[in-house]
Amino acid sequence: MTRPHAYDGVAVVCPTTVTYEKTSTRSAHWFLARALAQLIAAAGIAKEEIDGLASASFTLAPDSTIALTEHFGMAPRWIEWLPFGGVSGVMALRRAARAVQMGDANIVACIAGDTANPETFAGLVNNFSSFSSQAIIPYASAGPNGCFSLITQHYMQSFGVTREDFGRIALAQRANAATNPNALLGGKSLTMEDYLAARPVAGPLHLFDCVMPCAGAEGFLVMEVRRARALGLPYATIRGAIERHNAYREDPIAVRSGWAMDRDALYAQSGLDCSAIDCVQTYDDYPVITMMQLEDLGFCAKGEAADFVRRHDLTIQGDFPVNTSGGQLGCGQAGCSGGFLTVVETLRQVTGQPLGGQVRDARIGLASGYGMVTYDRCLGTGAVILEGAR
Amino acid sequence: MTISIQRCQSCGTFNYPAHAVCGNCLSDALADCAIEGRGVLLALSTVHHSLDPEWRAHLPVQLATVDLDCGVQVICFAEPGLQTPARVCLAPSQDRPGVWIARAQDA
Repeated sequence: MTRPHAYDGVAVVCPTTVTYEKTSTRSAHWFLARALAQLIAAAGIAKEEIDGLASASFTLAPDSTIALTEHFGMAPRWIEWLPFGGVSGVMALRRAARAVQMGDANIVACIAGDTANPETFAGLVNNFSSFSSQAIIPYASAGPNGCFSLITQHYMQSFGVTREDFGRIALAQRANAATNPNALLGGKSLTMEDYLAARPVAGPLHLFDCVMPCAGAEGFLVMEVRRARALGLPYATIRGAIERHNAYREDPIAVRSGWAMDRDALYAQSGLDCSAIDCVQTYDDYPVITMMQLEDLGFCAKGEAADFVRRHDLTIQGDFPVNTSGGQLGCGQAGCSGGFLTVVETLRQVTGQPLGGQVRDARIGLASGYGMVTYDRCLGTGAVILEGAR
Repeated sequence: MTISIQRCQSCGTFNYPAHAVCGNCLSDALADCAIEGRGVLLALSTVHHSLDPEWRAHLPVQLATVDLDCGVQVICFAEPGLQTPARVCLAPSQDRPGVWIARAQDA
C-alpha cells in the first residue's frame, strides 16, 4: 500500500457544540446554521472567508451541503456531503485537511447537526438502507438495538465478558458527563446497581447500554497552521488518520472492524504508539463497540478489553481517560453529531477548551469513528490522532 | 423444508440480503435458489422493544444470527430453547409470512 502523505501544515481549530436538546421542533438546518455561526464567532472571521463546507446530517432531507450554501448565503469553492453517521467526523476531517493542504480551500467548516422528535428516529431507522428494509425490519423492527444485541451476546460468550464489565464503561462515562453542561444525562448519577437493574431492551442490552437520540450539532474548522497562528487560535495538528469501509466481511459476526486493519498505518504515520495517547474518544453507540475499539486500536489484545476496563480508571482523572465529554451514552446521540463528538472532544482536550473536565496535561488524543449499520454491522471505521499546539 | 437465497449463476456465490449484482464477481446473472437452510446459530437475543407499534403486542421475540453453510449470514427469528452455538435449520415461519425461524437441527 502507498504510504499516505503527512498532514503537515494543517491546523484543526474551534471545537464547537450546539446545545443538545432531547427533542426539538427546529430543523436540522437550524442546528447546522448555529454550528456555523458559532465557528465564525469563535474564529473571529467573516462568513465570506469560509470557502469550504463539509456537512453531515440524517435529518436534512431533501437537502444536502449544496442546499446549505444557499440557506447560509455562501459561495464556497469546495463542498463535501458526508451523511455517514458515526464515521462522518473523521471522514470530514481527513477530506478537509487534504483540501486545505492542496489549496482547494483556505478555511473549511466541518459541521454535523440533526434535529430529533418522536418521528425522526423511527423514520430514519425505517429508511436507513435497502438491505435493512429487506432483511432487518421484518424481524420485529428492533432498530440498531437488535443487531448490536446479537453482536454483544456473541462477544460476551466468546470472551467471557459480563454485563458488569460493560457497566464499568457506562459508569465512567456518566461520571465524565457530570462535568459537562451539554451532557443531557450529566445531572443523573448512575450506580452499578442502577445499571444492572435497568429495564431490558434486547438480549444483554439494557437501558443504560443504549444512547438517547437527541438534537444538536458539533463542528470545527480546518485551515493552515500559519492562518491559525495569525488568528491567534489554539490549534491541533493531525499526526495520523485512517479510514476503512466494509472490512472483514468474511467474519460471520462482527468481533472486530476496520481499525484492526489500519492501526499499524495510523501509528506509523503518527510516529507514535498507543502509550503516547493521553485520552481516547471511542464511538460509543454501545459499550461492546468501545471494547472493540480498545482492542482493534491496539490498547489491548482481542478479547482482553473487559480485563482492560477492570484494570483502568476511564474517568477524566483516571489513568486511561475515555469519552471525557461523557460520550454519546452521557450526552445523547444527536444524529451525525455523534460521529463528530469524538473529534470535537479530542480537539477540546488537546487544546485546553473542554466543556467539562480537562484531562491533566492532555497533549495527544485519539478520536475514533464507527458508522452506518446497513445490515448486520457498521461498515465504516476511522480514527485520527490530534496533537495540541498551545 | 427449504428457503430461498439468491445465487450467482456465474460464480456460484450466494448473496444475502438480495443484491443487485453478485457481491463477489459483479455479475447480474442472479437467481433465487432453494436450499435447506442449515447452519450455525452464532448469536441469540430476546427483543423487548420495537420501533413499530404493531410489533409491541407480540414481544418479546427471539432474534438470532445464523451463519448458513452456503456462506451467508442471516438475522432471523429463533424458536425457544436454543443455545449458542448450535447447529440449526432455517424454515419459513408458520405464523408470520415472509420471515424465517431457526430451529434445532436434527442430528
